[in-house]
Amino acid sequence: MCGYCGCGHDHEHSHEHAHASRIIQIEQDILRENQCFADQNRIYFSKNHIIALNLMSSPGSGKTTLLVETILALKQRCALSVIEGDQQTDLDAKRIAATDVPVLQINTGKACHLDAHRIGHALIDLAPSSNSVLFIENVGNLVCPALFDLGENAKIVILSVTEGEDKPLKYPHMFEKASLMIINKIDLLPYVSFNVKRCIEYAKRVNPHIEVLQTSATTPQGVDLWCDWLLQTYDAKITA
Amino acid sequence: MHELNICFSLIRILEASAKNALPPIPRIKTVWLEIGELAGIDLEAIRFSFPIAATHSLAKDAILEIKTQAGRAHCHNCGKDVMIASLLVPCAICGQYNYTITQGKALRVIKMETE
Repeated sequence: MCGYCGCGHDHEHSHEHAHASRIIQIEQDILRENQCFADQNRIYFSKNHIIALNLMSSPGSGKTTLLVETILALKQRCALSVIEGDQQTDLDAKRIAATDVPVLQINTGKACHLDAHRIGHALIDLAPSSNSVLFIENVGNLVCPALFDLGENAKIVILSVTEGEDKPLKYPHMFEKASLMIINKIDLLPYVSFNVKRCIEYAKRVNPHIEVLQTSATTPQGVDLWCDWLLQTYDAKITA
Repeated sequence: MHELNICFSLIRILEASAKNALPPIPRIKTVWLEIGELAGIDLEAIRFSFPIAATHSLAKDAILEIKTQAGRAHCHNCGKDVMIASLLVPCAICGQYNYTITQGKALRVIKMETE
């Protein structure tokens, strides 16, 4: 049994009825358990003045490369830490560790997404410092992570130009939940048929409020604008 | 395949609800869910996953009854409340996409029938 939550899942209350029908009313959100852990995480972030950003994308969109560039650009200006989520291996955590910021790898095993319970445990192990930015790199998947609130301040979806401009329509739940879409690998635009304007139009169709940035983590075009977005978010929350 | 994880969460809720009942519950016979059209949940995947998640639980062999909740939205362009069958369709009145979902994201367990 863990010290964080007991892991016994004893939070639900039974509503037994002593009548012969033996119909038991439950009336409960099935994701409530995750929601409770997410709320705990949100309180933790707020109390410790931590901005938590949930980065989501397909596998291979360049999340980790973008993250490494972001860390190198920002680590002198604010405290940073990273939670890496992958089904297997600590390859991404090693890439982040090379930048000298605290990092923790979560291997989800068979699971296709991070959930709030795992993040709660990771926060105990990682102990991110107060007044910092925590990046949570979710498992590469445009479907399942969209449904699981981690208690983060913002969900960010990264889409690379090699994947096709129609992804916001094919995976609308992810784009509907995100506050920011980063179109990555824009240095490859001359070599692929990716219509940036149409991609943004599709994303705004499922989420009229979504913000959009364009980056190339390798050149590193647009990374400065993304860092500005981060610092503005950080200043708005931390100094508020 | 988040539906399998969701079914495991469902089983935990059912077993917790059954745990303190008197007389003790030997078996859960039927489970009623409400799932919204816009919840991002595939009903077939739920029906496929439920028996797997229920294998070693009181809900083994239970029947799953799923009621769907229609999607609704408030359109900021024309000000009307409209039915929305998916996140990809425009407002049925004005054809714009500038709306806020007001209903259709339910993912709830309503009740269960036990022996």
